Amino acid sequence: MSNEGRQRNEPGGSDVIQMRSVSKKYRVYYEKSENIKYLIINLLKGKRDRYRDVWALRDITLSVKAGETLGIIGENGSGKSTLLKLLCRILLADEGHIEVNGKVATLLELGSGFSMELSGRKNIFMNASILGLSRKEARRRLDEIISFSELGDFINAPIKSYSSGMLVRLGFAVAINVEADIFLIDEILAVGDERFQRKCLDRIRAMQRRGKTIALVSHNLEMIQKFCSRAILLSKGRLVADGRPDAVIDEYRRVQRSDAG
Amino acid sequence: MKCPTFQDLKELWLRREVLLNLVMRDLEVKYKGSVIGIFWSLLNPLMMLLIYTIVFRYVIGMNVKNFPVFFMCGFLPWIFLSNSVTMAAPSVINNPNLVRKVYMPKSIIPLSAMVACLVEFVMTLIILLLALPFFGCAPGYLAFSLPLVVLAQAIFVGGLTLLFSASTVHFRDVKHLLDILLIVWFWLTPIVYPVSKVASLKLPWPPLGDIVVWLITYNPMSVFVCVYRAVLLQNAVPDVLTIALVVIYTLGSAACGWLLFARSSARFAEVV
Repeated sequence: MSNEGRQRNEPGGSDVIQMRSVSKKYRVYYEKSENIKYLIINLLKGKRDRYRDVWALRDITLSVKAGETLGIIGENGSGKSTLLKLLCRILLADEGHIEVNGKVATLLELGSGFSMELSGRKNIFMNASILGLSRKEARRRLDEIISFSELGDFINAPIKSYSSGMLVRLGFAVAINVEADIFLIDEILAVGDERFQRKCLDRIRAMQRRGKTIALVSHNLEMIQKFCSRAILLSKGRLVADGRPDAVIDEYRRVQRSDAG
Repeated sequence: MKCPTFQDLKELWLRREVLLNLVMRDLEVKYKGSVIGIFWSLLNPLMMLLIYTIVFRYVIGMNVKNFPVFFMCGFLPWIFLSNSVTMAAPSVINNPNLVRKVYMPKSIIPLSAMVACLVEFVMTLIILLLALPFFGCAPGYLAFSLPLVVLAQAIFVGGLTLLFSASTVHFRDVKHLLDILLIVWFWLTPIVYPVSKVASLKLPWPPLGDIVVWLITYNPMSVFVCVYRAVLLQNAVPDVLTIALVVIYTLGSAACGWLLFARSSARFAEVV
């Protein structure tokens, strides 16, 4: 698997993502003064906000090398999405240190910033700029994006007339054309019909060949096994396994069985 | 230099395309299908002009020289402020996905609402400039300083939008408070009446009267309205005190809004 892209992006396989003892907690409120009125009433009554801190991630140490495709698996609420959000700075860590080198593309949802009243074409520019693609780049890739979306003439119609499948295709066509070094992808690959999915996965393969680093959250274990060069397993906010995808997936199945039994 | 404010500003500048796209989105959605979209931005001030003329001139019997121009010089900047703040305050909680699902400087969200209103304001202001000669007060050379005044007001309003959008995230009823504040602020600003009328204001309780007079004379919007009138209506350079106040209010609002927003926006993704 050695090609030019890899060699360019991987001088001796340097770490592009480094997390050292990272922890993240969420504050879950039982009672909160969500408006000024209650704040004043509660202040007068001497009531305080009541909350509990829940650790979503605990003491995560992880480094990812350039060109790796990392699969992140675990049960719901194990901290997978939190991990991605920390890497792209949507969330701030409470403890520990995170270093990310390179341009990051965050693909946590499709079609950020879409406006139903506007045409597909205009929404491409909106969405692209949010994902970090400049207007100039977006214009250069416009034909490619439109043809990938398979929308044809519909591209000039307001997207409120689109079916949900068409919206997904448009969102994905933009996302897949974002230029970056590191891609953080959360479960958005499970979209469209089988044929379109295959087309998307082909593009992910192409990114891998060009030496991009990818971190992928998915419940689709088969896909993790097929695509990732490495996988980690999160359980209740802790990193419990790290290694080859098949080994980590086996571990995951074992944990699930023992939990069930 | 690793100054966080500087870093944030730099990042905001780097992502300016997102801001512009959001502005375009707002404006296009609003004006879609109506070629004479600007007509809607003009209709409100014109209707208000009609009503205030009837009430103040014919019902109350107050006579202000060249009332249409006098009124517009105050009302258009006011509409800019009030629209910006009303639209920006709930902007962050109305766009949860831009906070929780993508990374970008969050100040883009309220500021794009302000810029959309600014575009409308500038368009109405240009129409006012074109209409001035027909009301017998052709703009003088001082009109060239208008962009500077508009810029100062935009920065002032921008600070307010940051302030109110951040507080709306934490307290959902800020909206109600804001509605009241805007009504009070409107009447405490000499928009429909000249400031000279309040110089000799006598209230049953003198201390309150003093406070009201002080507010009407020196509140930020009064100062801005005073500058707009000086530039457009009187073609006179505002006095030093007025200019100093403009600078203080502009920088003060920008600094307060920016710092408060920066402090609280780090956790927006968890509370929105």
